[in-house]
Amino acid sequence: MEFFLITLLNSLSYGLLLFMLSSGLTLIFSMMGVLNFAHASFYMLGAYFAYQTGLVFGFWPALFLAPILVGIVGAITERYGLRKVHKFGHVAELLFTFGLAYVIEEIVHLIWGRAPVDYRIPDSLNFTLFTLFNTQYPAYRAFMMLVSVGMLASLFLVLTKTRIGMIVQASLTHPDMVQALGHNVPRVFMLVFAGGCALAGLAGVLGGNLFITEPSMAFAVGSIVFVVVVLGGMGSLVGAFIASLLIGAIQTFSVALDLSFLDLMGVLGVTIDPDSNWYGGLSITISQMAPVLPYLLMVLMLIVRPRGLMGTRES
Amino acid sequence: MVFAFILCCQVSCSETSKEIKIGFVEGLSGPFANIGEVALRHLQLEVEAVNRRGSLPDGVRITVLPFDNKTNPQEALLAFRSALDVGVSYVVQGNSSSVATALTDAIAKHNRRNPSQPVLFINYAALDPALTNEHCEKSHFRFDADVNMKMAALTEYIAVREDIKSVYLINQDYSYGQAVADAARSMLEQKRPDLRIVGDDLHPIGRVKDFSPYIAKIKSSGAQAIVTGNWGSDLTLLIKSARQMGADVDFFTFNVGMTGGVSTIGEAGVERVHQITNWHANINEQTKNNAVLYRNRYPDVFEDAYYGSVRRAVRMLEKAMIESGSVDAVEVGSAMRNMSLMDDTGLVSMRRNNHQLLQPLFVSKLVRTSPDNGLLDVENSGLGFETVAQISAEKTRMPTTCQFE
Repeated sequence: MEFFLITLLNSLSYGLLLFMLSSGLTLIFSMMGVLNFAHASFYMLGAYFAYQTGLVFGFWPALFLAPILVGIVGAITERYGLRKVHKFGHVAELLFTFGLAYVIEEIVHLIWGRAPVDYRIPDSLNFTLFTLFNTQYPAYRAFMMLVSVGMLASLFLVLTKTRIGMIVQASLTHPDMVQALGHNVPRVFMLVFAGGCALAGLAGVLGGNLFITEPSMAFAVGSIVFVVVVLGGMGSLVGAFIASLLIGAIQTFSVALDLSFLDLMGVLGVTIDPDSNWYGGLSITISQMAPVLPYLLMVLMLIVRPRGLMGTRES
Repeated sequence: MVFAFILCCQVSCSETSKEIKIGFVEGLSGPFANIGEVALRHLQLEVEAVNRRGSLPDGVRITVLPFDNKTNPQEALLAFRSALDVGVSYVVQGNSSSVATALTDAIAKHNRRNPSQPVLFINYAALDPALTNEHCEKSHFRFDADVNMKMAALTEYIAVREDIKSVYLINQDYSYGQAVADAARSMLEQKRPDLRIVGDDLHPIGRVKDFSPYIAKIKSSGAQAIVTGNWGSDLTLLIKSARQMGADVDFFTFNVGMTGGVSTIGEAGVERVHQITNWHANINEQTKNNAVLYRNRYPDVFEDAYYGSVRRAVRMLEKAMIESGSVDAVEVGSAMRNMSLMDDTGLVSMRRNNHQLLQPLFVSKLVRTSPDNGLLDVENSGLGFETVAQISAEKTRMPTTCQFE
């Protein structure tokens, strides 16, 4: 029970972090049709910016400053990069973001070096929030969940209740009409791109010190974010939310499962000789396979339901 | 005139070639970059000392050239190629046994094909026992004790700790981590039949950023102690999660003194965190002096001295070059094959039949340091290591299956 509850909390906090990352990606995709390969790089930039501004101003100002800075970088990227290559079609845009991911990684190498930087959880959040049975639950994880949920709520409100949200939604489906009504659609695109990047940056601010801030963090998280978006359905925020929590749960709970095919066969009364060639493969436990499971799920989803859980379009 | 110029150049070129190049082919980017840099600083410190002494034959000087292998066997082979291109004749590497295995093979192959440009492989930290057993090569020398030697020493200590009734094994999922898990299991079963191994996990190397699910699992298993061979960020992140979740366990590690380990666990690790190493600062006055040397040489870095093996490797290279009167990798290698050396922790000697260094090993635990107890701390944490058990060099000798052709 203790294990279950703690793991559930851990999977929730991880899932929410994933959602913060993937919401920006899915938003940008649904709006602009651009699959932003550099999205996880903005996550990394968030962590590094928070580390750097945190050195000067402390963690709390950095929590706000870093996502804004990442948003500005995102806006510049859209205005002077993506918009220029847009006229050459989606492949050009895709290649642009793909290259951008490498450029950002190399820039991070140049500025902050190749080793992890010492970006720490602030002392004001570095305590035990509560003790469940005899496991301590760190306050920072709870704080992270709080920020993610708050962000989710405000994102929902902005998109559904405000004027700018309505324009964004309208531009999603009828960009020409919105343009004809006198709105500056390219600027809306830029705002959405910047906003999506800022969300990734915020995830970086929170995830960077909980895990580790290093140049390979973008690469490490990049592939899993794509799994979330594909699983949830391209362009669907609700889908991304469900998929994030699902992936979070799979990754944390699968660690605990020490079952293997061998055990399954044992239940069925089949025994395998330890010297057999099959023994090694069959004795791999689910916990050892944990890192592969999300990708396996993505492959299965693409076969069974290519548009994802909540996706609306087939392609 | 032109001819004279060329001749002159050739003379002066051979003058300047009075230098040998050590290629530090190590993971200098990615999740393990930080510890690669730590080892590089150790290497540079020792090489500087050799160059200052000017002790090598014909006044030869050593240059250290870093090559990034990205902690990946394929990348390591490319890095080795570029090291060869600039004339490296000694390769130093240690982080990750899978990389070390690839390099051992590549270097042995290179030596067979290019006898005129021989290369020697100095392994300061890759502990897979296979490297000095079934996969041993004449050109490979290991200066740290292998997994079995270390685990034998560590389990000797766990065997007398009767208060520990259950342990959990968690290791990286590759040859080295599997070797640690296997050795721990078989040795503990033999030395402490009453002790229960309540869990045995292998996790992907360098990929887990959040160990809290593992810690939750360890806690629910009721283990009193964790035995792990993890290194680098895989160890610091494991400890970080354990600390955040208040895991009430002892740690028996191979590498906790490595950069970041102690400052991550902090006060929570006092009397609870142990390591088995060939060196730590508080063994005797000499080791303390060496630790201070490191600190004085690198006043701005976060870590403290850790690798006794790097020091011994460079000192033994120096001695072998002096004794053989040559810097040729083959001659230096054969001089090193049966060499003994007095280092700060006692006599260390290279085994002829598998090129494994025999040296005293120390089980140490984390304690508070103060001017009163005269112990040195690490990472300015006010915490340092104190020896709780010592294993003589001769006792670490293990049977070997190595057969050099």
